[in-house]
Amino acid sequence: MKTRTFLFPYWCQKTGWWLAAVSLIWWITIIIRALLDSENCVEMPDWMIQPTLFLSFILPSAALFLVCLSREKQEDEYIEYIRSRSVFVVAIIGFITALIYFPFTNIGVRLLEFSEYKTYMVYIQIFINPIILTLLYLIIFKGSLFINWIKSHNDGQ
Amino acid sequence: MMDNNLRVERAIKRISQAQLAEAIGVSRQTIFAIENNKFVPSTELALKLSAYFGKTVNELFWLTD
Repeated sequence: MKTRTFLFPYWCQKTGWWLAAVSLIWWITIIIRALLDSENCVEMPDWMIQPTLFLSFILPSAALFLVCLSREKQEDEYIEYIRSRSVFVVAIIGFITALIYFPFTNIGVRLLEFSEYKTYMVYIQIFINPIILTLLYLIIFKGSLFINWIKSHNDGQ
Repeated sequence: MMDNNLRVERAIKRISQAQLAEAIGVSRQTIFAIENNKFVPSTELALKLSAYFGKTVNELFWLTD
């Protein structure tokens, strides 16, 4: 059943997952390297520093972008419904987090005189990061699809 | 609220959720969600389902209090 969505084709999602796998391998390499470096006090080699920005940030972001903005294998109105519901949940979480975050902004601190809590600002700021919100959307969306898949599978005939 | 007898009609025709989903062109999860009243189908999908079972939309779907 055709739906009118402005999403990339399904193969883009596949590409996105491959890019995510490459990014994951890269991050594991970095973490292992960092652990080894901390023990041996060895500097990161040049071959690793050069592509760090691309592999560590741009590639996972591109992967996330492709996975989130691509159609499912069989995109229908129910999938669209789950997709829009997930976006709504993330929007609400983002909005509430932004409200909580407001007292710790420069304006909020001046208005509400909450300066003693300013150290927590960074932690809250992480949650209104667009990348984190997109990741949250992906978890909710794919999680809902998976739960539905399990339920319908158990329902059988 | 809306209810339906999609499951009954499917049992009469002796077809699985997957077979019905394939015939209509939707996913199996969609049929499961409609049968369990978790999702209200669009008019287009309701018409397709009723045409498949040879029933009217009112025979397949109805309003409840």
